[in-house]
Order: sequence, then structure tokens, then C-alpha cells
Amino acid sequence: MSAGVAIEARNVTVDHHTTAGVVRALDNLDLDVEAGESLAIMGPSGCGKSTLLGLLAGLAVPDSGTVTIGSDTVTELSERDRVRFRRRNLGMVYQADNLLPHLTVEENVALQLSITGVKPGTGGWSSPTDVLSRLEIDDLATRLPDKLSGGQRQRAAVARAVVHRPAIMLADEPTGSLDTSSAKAVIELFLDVQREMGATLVMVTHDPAMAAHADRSMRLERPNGHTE
Amino acid sequence: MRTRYVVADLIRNPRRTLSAMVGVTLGVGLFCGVLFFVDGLSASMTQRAVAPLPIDMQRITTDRVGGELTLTEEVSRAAADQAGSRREVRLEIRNDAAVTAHEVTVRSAPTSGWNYEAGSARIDDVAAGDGTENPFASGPGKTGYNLGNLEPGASRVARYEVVSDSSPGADPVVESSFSTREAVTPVPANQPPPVAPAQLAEQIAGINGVARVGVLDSADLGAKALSAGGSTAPGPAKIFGFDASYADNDPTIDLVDGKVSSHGAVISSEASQALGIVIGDTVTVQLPDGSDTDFEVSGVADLSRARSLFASRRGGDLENFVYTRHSVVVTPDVFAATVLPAYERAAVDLGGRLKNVPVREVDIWVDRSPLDADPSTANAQTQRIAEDVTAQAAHQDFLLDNISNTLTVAADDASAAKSLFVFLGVPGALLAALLAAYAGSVLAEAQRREQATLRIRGASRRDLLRMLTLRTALLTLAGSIVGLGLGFLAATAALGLDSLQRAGLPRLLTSAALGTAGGLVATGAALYLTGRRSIDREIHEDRARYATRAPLWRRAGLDIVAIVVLVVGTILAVRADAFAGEAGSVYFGRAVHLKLSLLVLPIAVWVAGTLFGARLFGALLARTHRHATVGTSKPLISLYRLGVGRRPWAIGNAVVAVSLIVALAVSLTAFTASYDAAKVEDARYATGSDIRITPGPSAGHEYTVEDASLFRTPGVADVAPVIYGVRNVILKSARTSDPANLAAVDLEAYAAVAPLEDQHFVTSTASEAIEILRADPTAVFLSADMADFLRAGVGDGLQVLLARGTDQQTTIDVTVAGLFERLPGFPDGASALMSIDEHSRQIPSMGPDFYLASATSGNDAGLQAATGSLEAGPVAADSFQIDTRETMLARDQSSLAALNIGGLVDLDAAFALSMAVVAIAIFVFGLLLQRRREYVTLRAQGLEPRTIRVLIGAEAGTAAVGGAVLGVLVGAAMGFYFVTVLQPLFVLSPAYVLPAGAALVPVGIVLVATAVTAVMASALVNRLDPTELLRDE
Repeated sequence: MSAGVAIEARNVTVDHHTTAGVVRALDNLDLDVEAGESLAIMGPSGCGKSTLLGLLAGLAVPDSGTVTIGSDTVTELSERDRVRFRRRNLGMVYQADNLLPHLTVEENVALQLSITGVKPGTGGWSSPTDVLSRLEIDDLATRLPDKLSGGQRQRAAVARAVVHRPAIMLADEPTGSLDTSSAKAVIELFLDVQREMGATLVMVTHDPAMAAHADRSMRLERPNGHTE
Repeated sequence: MRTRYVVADLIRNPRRTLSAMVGVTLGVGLFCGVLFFVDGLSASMTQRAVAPLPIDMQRITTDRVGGELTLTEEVSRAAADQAGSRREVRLEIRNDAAVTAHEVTVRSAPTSGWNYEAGSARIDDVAAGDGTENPFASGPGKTGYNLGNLEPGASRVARYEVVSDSSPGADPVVESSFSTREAVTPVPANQPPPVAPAQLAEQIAGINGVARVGVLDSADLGAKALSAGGSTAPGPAKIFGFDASYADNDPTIDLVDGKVSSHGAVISSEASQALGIVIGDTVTVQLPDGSDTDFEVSGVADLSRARSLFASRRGGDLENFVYTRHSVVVTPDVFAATVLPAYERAAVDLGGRLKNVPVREVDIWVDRSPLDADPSTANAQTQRIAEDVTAQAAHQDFLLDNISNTLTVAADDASAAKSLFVFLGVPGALLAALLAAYAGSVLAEAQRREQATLRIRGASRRDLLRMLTLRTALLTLAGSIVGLGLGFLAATAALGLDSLQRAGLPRLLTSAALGTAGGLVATGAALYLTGRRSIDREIHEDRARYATRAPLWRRAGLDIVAIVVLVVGTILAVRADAFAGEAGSVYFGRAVHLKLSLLVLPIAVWVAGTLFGARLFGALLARTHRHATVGTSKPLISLYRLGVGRRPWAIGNAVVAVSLIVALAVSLTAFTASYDAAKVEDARYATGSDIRITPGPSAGHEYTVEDASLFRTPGVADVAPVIYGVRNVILKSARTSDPANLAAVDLEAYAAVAPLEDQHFVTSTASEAIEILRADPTAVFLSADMADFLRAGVGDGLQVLLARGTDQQTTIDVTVAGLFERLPGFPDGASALMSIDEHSRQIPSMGPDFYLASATSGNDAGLQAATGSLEAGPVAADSFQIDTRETMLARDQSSLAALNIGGLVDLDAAFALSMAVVAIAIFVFGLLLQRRREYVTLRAQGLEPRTIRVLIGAEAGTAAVGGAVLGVLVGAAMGFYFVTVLQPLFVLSPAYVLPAGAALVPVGIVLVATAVTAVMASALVNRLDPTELLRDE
């Protein structure tokens, strides 16, 4: 769709309300990612990495602070506008493939185009097959997800995330469920595609080796315990 | 540890827990509800059965007309009997009556082991007989010795000896009895003196369980027996003897004016009119001996509904109401002092020719409040009372135990009721188990991931099964407790708390235990087995394949098996004529018998129709994805088509569940509608039309055939005058003759107002029969039974004595023109049918006994309009009794009428509809549980929540609409089978009725439930935390 855009988060605070009380997930966080940059975020469990990704994706809103992506202040958008923003600008990859089990690989990829409203060849890849080919899984196009290995499923998930050429790519432990060699192959391919598209990438990982592939990495620490 | 995990799992997943529990709750609720319902109904069956009885027991005394004769038998004693022992027999017969006993015959014969000593017989010390044979038991018939007449106060003594043979028997040595011309029934020797009815009544009143007693005497007086001044009441008359308390306790004895007096007489309204006398005037009663007795009229009574007085006392037709218009009532003391001696004198004169002897009886009403609710137990209670009653002055008389006889039929009806509940309850129970299994399967699927996690953490299959057992036990226990309460509330709502309280605590506790155990086992097993299947399934089984795999019933071909069972069962039932069961009848003491084996047919329709329909539906859904492509159409459409096309059985299973539930509800609706319609038709048939108008005994004038026009008021379509009475004519064929119930009707009007059916005529159609009778005034139609008795066939000539027992009685020659099985309007059975025109030509003075009228509109409002216009018009101007098909329905004497089938069906339907809502909710929320990650992924991909909501709604709607449409079709067929196999419940062949509006209620409920749950599910999807769900592996 478009080349990468910058990401800016200011004074972002998120509290999770649990039965045990309120748990602060992010505390006055500031974040800057340049357009086209790839950033790896590392940190211990519970430091708010996934929460941060959810904010950047517009799937959640912070209790305070702002998130700006390109010219859009995501935290000020309505739910409906956030859906539209997400549809056009974001591609997401998670540790779980989250492919729809009753759709073939090609259909899963094509569905993203259909949701985005992009006709193949008009703004993204020329067709879902092209992106599958680029990710070296074009021979698996007609298979259902359950017929694929973990690495193949994750490549299919990447294909779905990039097929509409999003400006922002978000990845949450994208290789967390893969063995080392598969993980390396997937992350290299993933970053290659990101760079080819010029998209901005924010990737959460525990693995320093994976983080090393990114342009930059940062570390998040746990906020100071509970707040009331 | 396992327990804590399971308990925590149940508490922390309340929706899941409630979904699993609700199947158990509804199952146990339905089980318990039906059983409580049966208890409540059974509790009312005894009361309902005995309510119409006018008299519970009748102790008919056999006080002999002709005098009080006693025969004393004495046999000499011996120290020890051995071969050749000799005994002397002494017989003394005395006449203590005031009149001579004629042709007194004494019969006496030695018992086994004793022989008559030849030549020993003496009468009043004079040798009797031929010297060889026993004169008191002579000839092959062991005929007694005729002593001739015995004057008042006289006695005769007979003696003879008996000798023992080689093996003398025990006492009695001889058996002796006597008879007279007046009392032909032999009376054993040494009978104690008869107890007078008043004394007997006093003894019986003291028996435990007897509420009250009353003495009733009655006698037929013959024609023209009542007169006053110069007037004579035409036709036969009757005289009764009962006191004021008897009249007070019988609401059908309507004392219009005056009172029962110890010296005067109460006369019937008809007699009062015929004689033109009122209170204070004198009525003259001509008694059978020719004497006249005058009574001062102390009251006037409408006795036309007094069933206790006019119910037949003849063995063959105890329930027939044989009314005599002209009656007079005196007290029992007056009856004994005045009427009985006259009959004794008549008996002396007429002997065996005195056909109608007075009947003296002690009428007994038992205390009904302690009677058990169950007719069988109540029957045992009343039989014990009957034994105690019979033990008073035993051998003197006999007992008509009406209440025990009624309860015997009611007990059989109760048994039929239980069969009926099985018929209507089994599908509901199956449904509850199926719902539990469905909930279990959906939830087990949702738990696969947790089970996989537990396995990874080291839990063995055994551990998982133990946890499943514990989870099932806790769920079923909690569900059962709630279900028990729900069942009680449902039964209370259907029957009322009073009915349940009447059933008694022990019975309710038993039902609670049975219902809870049954529901718990059925639903618990279903819940456990589905969970076990899930555990046994390979954890890493291909998800896509699992989702597309056909369910077990489809793979096993259960639908085909059910179709085969249905077809074979139907063919066998038709060939064996198994559907045509014999209807129950109170008149014939015959209970309804339902064949439980036929239950398999409606259930086979239910299962076969639903499963086969779901097979077709699944195949149809599977075709939807064939040409579906992603990208060329909107995401919603492609997602829907691919979703339902590649996972058809997720929807298919929901279709099965919804269809089974809707089908049951629709079939019950159809059955209820057919049952109600048939009962209304039965009532209309018994009434003869919509309305029956009977001129009252105190009506202002004699109504004629032409007066039918008076009753053609607004809302009344047509009116047919009818002359009819029980044993109102004598039919005489070339072979024999018999009293018969003749109906003379206005043929054209009768055909218009009465529900005549071709199947009730043997030799013609209904319209042909009417035409034949119209064409030939001398033609009559006979009932098949009467024709058989008379040995008369079509074309044979008969003689009919019309207006039997009246001044106008005359004999006419008729021809049998056809036969019928039954006719509407004559529940006690018409024997013959003829034209009222011909009857009126022969007996011009005899007016119709009643008029049958049809309402312009056949519905209840039409009936009320017609009745209203009659009551405001001609009926208000004179004395009439109005009966309608509604009042006839309310008077239905069958204890099966107490079944409240409508209530049971309502209860079943309420549970079925609850299950429908629950099934839809389980389906929708099950979808949500299974696919929440898909929905959240779609949200993350940018699909709008509205589109996801529509997607959920579309899938749920497909299941709901498919299941509802299939359910209506299957339910219509199932209802037809229900009506067919339950035919014995109806007197007439029931027409199948499927009210479209009522049948669509479950469909509407299912669709509304679908819409509501889809909206709720969509809201839940929007509340899910996508961040957590999407990162979760």
C-alpha cells in the first residue's frame, strides 16, 4: 500500500484490572520508531511487550498517553476508524499462526486482500500466489493449515500479513514456536520482505538472536508492581 | 488436587458450567415434572371417577312378596358316625305372614355319604311318597315336595331318616330349602328372620367408611295408576318410598314445592300437571291388588334428573336412565304399611304373573375423602367396605357395588394413562438426554485444548477420565437439584398445588427419587460419554478433518435404520390392524387399552425424519463452498460459504437438535389439537348436535313436531324434533321380541343437525339411509345388534308396539330397510330409527322428547350465540333443559377425561421449547467458544465487528431455520402417527388437525432465540481481549 511510516508513543500508561487488583502493564512509556525501521522489543514476561503491540495495532487503547502512526493519532480514533486504519496499514504476525482452519493457505492470504478491499495486482502483490511464491510456499497454496508444518504455517501467516503491503508490520514472537533453523529462515524471509516493502516493523521477541536481525532493539522493564 | 482443579474450572467458567448443567436441569425437570404430573392426575382420577355416581352401593333386599315363611331343619345328633349310622331329619315350615302362601314346596336331600332311608318320610306323621324314593328330592331333577297352600299362622312338619354309607361325610347331613308360587327363588332352611330395611340401614351406617345411608323403596304401578278427581295420569306410574333426609341429600331430586311428609305424598311435576292437582289436593294411587289409596299431596318435585331413582336396577343395563313421568313419593313406613301388603295380595292372586315386584334397598354412600388417590387402592378400600356391608344380615340379599365397579374401570384407565404418559413423555426424555449430549459434545470440543495442556503436563488418560467423572457428577448433582425444583414448579403450574398435595408426600417423594435418578442417569451418561469420546480422540487429530467429519449417526447410517424400522413397523401394524384399537367405554365397563409397542412408530418418524433431513441438509451445505472463492466476493459471503460448506456438520448437528425439539413441540401441538377436536366431536355426537333442548316436566304445554320452528332463533341453523326413550317400544320379529329404544326423527332436519357418518351405517351411506326412510314411511333402520337379536335382516317385516305402556299404544307393521352401528344423540344406544312423521301419524298425541339444534357457526362463539338466543327467547318463556356439546364434554364420565392431556402436553411443550432455546444458545455460544480465535483474528485483520456479527448470525440462522423447517415437517408426520396410534382414546375416528398458527410458535421461539443469542454472542466477541487471544498458542 504505502512505504513505512513513523511510530510515536508518548506517556503511554496501561492498567489491567484483575481480581487481585489493578496491575500496571505500561507506565508512561515513550517510543519512537522511524519509518521503514525494524525494531525488536525485548524484555521479561509481563513487561508489557504484547500490550504495547496491541496499542500500536489499535486493538486496545491506553489509559493515558497517545500513539501516533504516520499522521494518524491512533488513540484518538473511534473503534470504527481504528478498524479501517488496521485494515489498510497493518500486517500482523503472532507466535500462533491464527490461520482460519477451514481455509486453504491461498484463501487465508486472499481473505486479507478481500478484507482490505484491494484487488490483486492493483496495489499489493499481483496475486496471493505471488506472495506465496516469494515466501517459497506456493506449492502449499491449496493445503489447509493443518496439513502444514509449523514453519510452513508461519510463512503462510507472514504471507497473509504482507499481502496487502501494509505500512506497519507488527510481530509478536513470530518464531516462538519454531525450531532454531526454521525460526532463522522465517525471520530472515520476514525481514527481507519488510525491507523490500519499506514497511516499519515492530517485533517482540525473547530471543536475542532474532532481535539481532532487526535494525534496532530496545528493552522494556516491568513497571513497579501494582497501583491502585 | 484433581477435585480442586475441577471445582475451580467449573466456578471460573460459569457460562460453560451453566451450559452443561442446563441440559441436566431440563432433563431432570422434565422427568420429575411428568412424574409429579402423573401423581397429581392420579390423585384426581379416583374423585373424578366416582363423582358422577348417584349411589355408591345398593343393598337390594330380597324381602319376599307373599309372606314371611320360615323353614326350620333339625337333624338328630349321634356320638360318632360310622357305616350304617342313622339320623332323623325334621323339617318345619311356618307361615307367619298375614296372607296365604301358595304351592309351598319343600326340597330336602342328604349330602354325600348319607342316603335316604326308604319309607321313612312322614308329613305331619303321615307317610309320604312312594316308599322307595325320597319324596323331598325326587326324580332326576331332585324335585321337592309340594305341600299345597299354607294359611296364615299355619305350619307343617316333615320327617325322614338318613343312613350313612361306608364312609359317612361331615355335616351338613342334609340340605333343605323351600319355595312358593309367590317367591319362586328357593330359600335355604334355618335362615334367620329377615332384617327390616330400616334396621339394616342402621347397622350399615355404623360401618367404618360409610358416610350415610338411606332407605329407598320403589315399585312400578302400571298404566293409569294415578288419578285425582276425574283425571287420570296417562301411561305407567311409579311409587317411591324415601324420607326427607334422602331427598335432602340428593341434589337431583328437585322439590319444586312443599316437602316430603310422613303422611302425605310428593308427586312429580308431570303428574301434577296431568292431574291438575297441587299441594293439599288428594291423589289416588291404584295398587296392584286393585285397591285404591288416597294421599294428600304434600309436595311437587321435578324428578326428571333423579338418577338415584330412575337408574335401571336390571343387571344388563344398570346405567340406563329409565324415566317414568308420573310418580308419587311416600315415606318408607307408608310404603311398608300400604304398598307392600297390596303387592303381597297381588302376588297371592297373580303368583308368577306378578312381573314387577317392589324393590327395597338400602342405599349407601361411602366417605370418599379417605379414598386413596390411586383408583386401584381406592378400589381395594371400597371392596373392604362392601364386604362389611355384605356381612350385615348375610344371605338375606345382595349388594350392587357401583363404586367398586367404577373404580375397577378407573384403575384400568389409570393404567392406560400411564401408557399415555410413556407415549408423550419418552420423546421428551430422549430429547433431554440428547440436549445434554449436545451440550457435552460442544463443551468437550471447547475443552480439547485444556485437556491437551493437561496431558502435556503429565496427566494420564485415567486422570482425565477421573476428572471427567468428577465434573459430570458435580454438574449432574447440581443440575438435578435445580431440575427437581423446576419439575415441581412446572407440574404445579400445570395442575395446581392442590392436585399435587392430594397425591401425598410418599408418592411425590418416590416420583422425585425416580425422576431425579432417571434424568440424572440419562443426561449424566450423555454428558459423560461425549466427554469420554473427546478425551479418547487423538489430541493432535487433524482439526480441519475433525470439523468436516460426519457425526457418528451419519457414519453409522442411523437415519436409514430408523427409516427401515418405520416402514417395516407401519406395514406390520397396518397388516395386523393394530391401529384400530377398541375405544374405552364407561357404559360397557371397558377401559382404554393402548399398545405401547406402537410407540416405536412416532419415535421412528421423529428420528428417521430428522436424521435423514439433516443428511440432506448437510449434503446441501457441503455444496455451498464448491464455487466459492475468496477475493471475488465480499469477505462475509466467502467466509460464510466456505465456513458452512467445509464444516457442514457443526450446523448439521445443530439442525438435528433444533429439528428434534421443534418436531416434538409441533407433534404435541397437532396431537392436542386433534384430541380436542375429537373430544368436541365426541361430545357433539353424544349430544346429537350442538344443542339439545328438552322440555321440562313442568313445561307449560305439550310441545309438538311443529314447535321446532320456535327454536330457530338467531344463531341456530336448524332444529330436529326427536321422539326417543329407553325401552319405549317393543320390536317383534318372526322369531322373538324385545323392548327397544326407538328414535323417531324429522329425517331431513336430523340429517342437517346431527353428525351422521357413513361409517356408522352398515348397509348404506348416511344420506342413502335418510332417503330410504323418507321414501318409505313404513321403513325402519335397526341397529346391527338388535337385528342380530331379532334375527331380522334387510327386507324382513317387523311389528313395532309404539307408545308402549300408554293409552295410545298401538302396533304397526314395518320393514327393515337397513342397519346401522350407532347414531348420534343416543349415547345409551338407539335400537331403531324411523320417521317422526310416521310416528306422529300413528300416535298424534305424542310430542317430541327433545329437539336437536345446530349452531350457525361451529366454533365456541357460535355455540354461545345460539345458546344465548335460545335462552333469551323461547327457553325463557317456559321450562326447558338446555344441554350443549360443551356441557356434555364437562360431564364426560370417563376417568380418562381426568387425564388432562392438554396439561401434560403443555408441560412437555414448555420443556421442549426451553430446550429449543437452550439448544440454540449452546450452538451459538459453542460456536463462539470454538471459533473465538477465528473471530478475533478477523478483527485483527480489519474485519468490522458488524460483519462478524452478521457472520455469527448467518451461521446460527442457517441452523435455526434449517432445524425449524425440518422440525415442522417431521413434527407434522410425527403428530399424525401419534394421533393414529392413540386412536383408542377417541370414541369417533379422530381427524388429524395441525393448527398452522400454533405449529409456528416453536419456530418463532427458535428464531427469536437465535437472533437474541447471536446478538449476545457478537457482543461477547467484541469484549474478548484480542491481544491475549492472538498471542496464545
